[in-house]
Amino acid sequence: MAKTILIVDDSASLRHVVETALHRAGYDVVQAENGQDALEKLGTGVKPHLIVCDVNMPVMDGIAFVKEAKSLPQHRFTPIIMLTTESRETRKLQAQTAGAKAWMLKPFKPDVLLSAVQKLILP
Amino acid sequence: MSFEYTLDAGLNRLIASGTLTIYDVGQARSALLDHPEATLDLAGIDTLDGSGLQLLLVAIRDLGTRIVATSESTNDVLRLVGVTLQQEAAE
Amino acid sequence: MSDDLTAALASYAEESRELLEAMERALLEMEADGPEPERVNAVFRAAHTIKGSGGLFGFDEVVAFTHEVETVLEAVRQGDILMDGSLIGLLLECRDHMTCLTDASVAGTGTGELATRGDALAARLESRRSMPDSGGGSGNSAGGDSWHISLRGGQDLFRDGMDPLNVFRYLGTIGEIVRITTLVDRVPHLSAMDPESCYLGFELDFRTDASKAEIAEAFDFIAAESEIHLLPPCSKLSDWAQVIRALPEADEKVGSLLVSSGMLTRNELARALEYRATADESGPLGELLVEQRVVPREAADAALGRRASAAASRGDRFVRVDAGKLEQLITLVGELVISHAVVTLASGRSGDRDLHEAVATSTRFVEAVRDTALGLRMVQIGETFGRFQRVVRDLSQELGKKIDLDISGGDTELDKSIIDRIAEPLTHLVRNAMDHGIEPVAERLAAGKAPSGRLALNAYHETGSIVIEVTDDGRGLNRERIVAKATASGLVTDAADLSDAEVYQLIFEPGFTTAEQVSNISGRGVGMDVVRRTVEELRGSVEIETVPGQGSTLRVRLPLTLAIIDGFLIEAADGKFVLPLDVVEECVELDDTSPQDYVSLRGEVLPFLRLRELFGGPEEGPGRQSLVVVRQGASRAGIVADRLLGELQTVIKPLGELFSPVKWVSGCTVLGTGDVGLILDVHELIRSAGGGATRALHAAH
Repeated sequence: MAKTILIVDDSASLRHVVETALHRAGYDVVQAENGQDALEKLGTGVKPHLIVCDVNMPVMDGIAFVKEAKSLPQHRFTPIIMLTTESRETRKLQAQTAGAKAWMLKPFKPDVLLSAVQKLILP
Repeated sequence: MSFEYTLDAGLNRLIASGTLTIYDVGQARSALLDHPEATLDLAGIDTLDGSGLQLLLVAIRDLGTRIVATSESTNDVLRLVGVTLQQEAAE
Repeated sequence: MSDDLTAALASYAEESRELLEAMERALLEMEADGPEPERVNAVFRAAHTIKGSGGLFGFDEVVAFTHEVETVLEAVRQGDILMDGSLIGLLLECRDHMTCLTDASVAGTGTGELATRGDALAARLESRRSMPDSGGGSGNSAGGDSWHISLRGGQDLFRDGMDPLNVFRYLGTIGEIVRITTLVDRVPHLSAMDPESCYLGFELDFRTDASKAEIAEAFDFIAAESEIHLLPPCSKLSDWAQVIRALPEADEKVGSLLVSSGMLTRNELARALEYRATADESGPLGELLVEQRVVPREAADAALGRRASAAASRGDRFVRVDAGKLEQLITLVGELVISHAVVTLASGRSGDRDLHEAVATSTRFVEAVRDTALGLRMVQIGETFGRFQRVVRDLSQELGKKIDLDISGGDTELDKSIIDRIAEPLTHLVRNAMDHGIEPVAERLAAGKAPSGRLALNAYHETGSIVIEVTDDGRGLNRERIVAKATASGLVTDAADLSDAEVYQLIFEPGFTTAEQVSNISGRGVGMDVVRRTVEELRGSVEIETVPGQGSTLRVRLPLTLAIIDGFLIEAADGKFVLPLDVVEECVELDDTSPQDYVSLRGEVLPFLRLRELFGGPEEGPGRQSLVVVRQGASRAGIVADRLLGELQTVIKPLGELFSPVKWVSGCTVLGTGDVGLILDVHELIRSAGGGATRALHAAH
């Protein structure tokens, strides 16, 4: 049974690259274009094993999404990797407080993300 | 899929199925504490994570719980962390 | 011999003495806490330096013997032989022999009769060197070709979705987990645990071609919250020891787990556990950081750079200074303080505001210079305490008692001149406690005590004093025995009225010995009376606290420095005089102008001296004079002064050469007015007044 990964990012091209890389490695991928969209996907019964989530997004940003997701009983323990160009420590702290302990700086090569994902869940 | 269990009163055995993960360990712990003498059948467990493993090991340690059946996925985890169970032949 | 050579020889003697002390200290530490590599190195360095400088002076016997010692130490460093208790004992004997050799060589008295002993020791060293370790396995490393990983999960791991099981699965993709053991020791009881918290621990042997950085990366997401140790293949036993120590479970628990899972052999474990002592600040801390946080070594090294260089320079943080030069400096500082006081007065008189301010500024610096200069003589008592390790070790063997020494407060500072004089009395107190205080093993067991006696040395500062305590857990002082003894020696006639404290103080009286116990140990020249006299000469006191059957504490209280005293200022014949405040008992008015030199004070005869006469002032003083009653020990005397000026804290300055022949004066001090005050030698005054109260009483009757 392949593991499911939810990728949340407002850049369609980034989502595409990530999906391709992860899919090739054996994961199922669900895409969402912002936090609101991602919450809706979770609401329709998607149960990801891992969420990869951008910080800066329109409509609902990554921090707000993480807080919401962590308050959902069936998703509160799901590991989350935050993606961002933000290196400011306060944002990082906010995300960690919200419940995302893993962190990756953009830009990254797809295989670096894959390697990070594999350390959290194998396909 | 989530954690479910039934009690076979005749055998005094908890028969667990579904997942035994961080989402389930609270409920599983209560079940174990409610039936401290019961044996445990894990044949129906399809997902076991670190927290589930921890719970099983502590039940064995503190209640002397005997595990009478395992599944493929539980065996994978036990193998991964070097734990061998003293299995009791299923009656 | 040329002066240069004489000086060089003196410096060699001094250096050797210090190195041999350091060697002894390191050996004793090893005996107590295990053969940490740093300690082995310290012993090796000491031997190496002694051999090297001995060669310069042509001390062939020193060189030849020390070479044997050095060779064995080198073998220990290489891990070829094990530094065990018997080798430490042998090396202590060798150290003593080296002391004899260097002393004899420096003194030029020849080392002939030492040769037999030297040969015997050398033969024992040689046999030790050629004998393979009984334990087998001479390597200093363990763990074979796998990495060893110790992981103790952080409590939030599961909640954060960071499952260690996934890390192990990932490790399986870059290598092979050869062995793994899961630990549930830290998990609370099922009924009390939070099942969502992670308490699991894992010990893994992991075989891989991946680099340390790649392995460390696997733990990227869990490293921040967890405790992780990563030991490369064939790690040094000392590194294993560090990890075993650092892990939260008891060393023995971790150790037996490593053995039962086949990660270490029993022998490797035993040897690793010998590196028991705590991680030293320098070096090992960095190693641990690298292991724990999996930080890149470069980063750790950079962060630790300052500490490392501080540690490297620790050796030359001290400069050796000729004691004479230091004394000279302190004398000069005294002169500076005096002349500065004169400047201050003159500037005050001149009325020049600018000058006055400038002088006020320099006053601050002069005071700072004075305090710093006096501080130069302050040294830690630790080294003095350290010497007792050997005293206690040897004496307990001699006495056939088991005695552990606890030392605390070694960093307490006091004046060097006090330390020099207190060492001998302290030795006597220690010997006394071991000989008379702590019981033989059989007696201790019969009394329900632990077979090992405990002796503690402690030092601390307390309101301007330093307190040194010698505590034992022995039988305590026995009032009846002391009274019997004191009565037999004629020290007391009726002890019934004496308080316990007064009875205990009797042991400090001259002539008091508990004769049944005169042994060559504490009956060695210095008696307890000398202890008290020395302490009192240093303006200190000795207290005794004892609980029969449970032990005693002898508490020596000393002034922080001899250079500053609390004084009592008096005036006579236009001169200012200072008495140490603690000898002043009371002050009374004296209107008696009769020529006799004693008064009756509350029915007791008190002899006195007139300062006016002693220091050649005019015959006629003021009509009313003051009598200051001073006491030292049991002797009292009066000192007649014109005026009493009150208490002051004052810096004692040695007398200049001009004053040195002056009797009754022990030093001088500079008063706030810039005047010089003479510090009276109370001991001498009391003697001059009539040899003390006792004789005066006889004269009166």
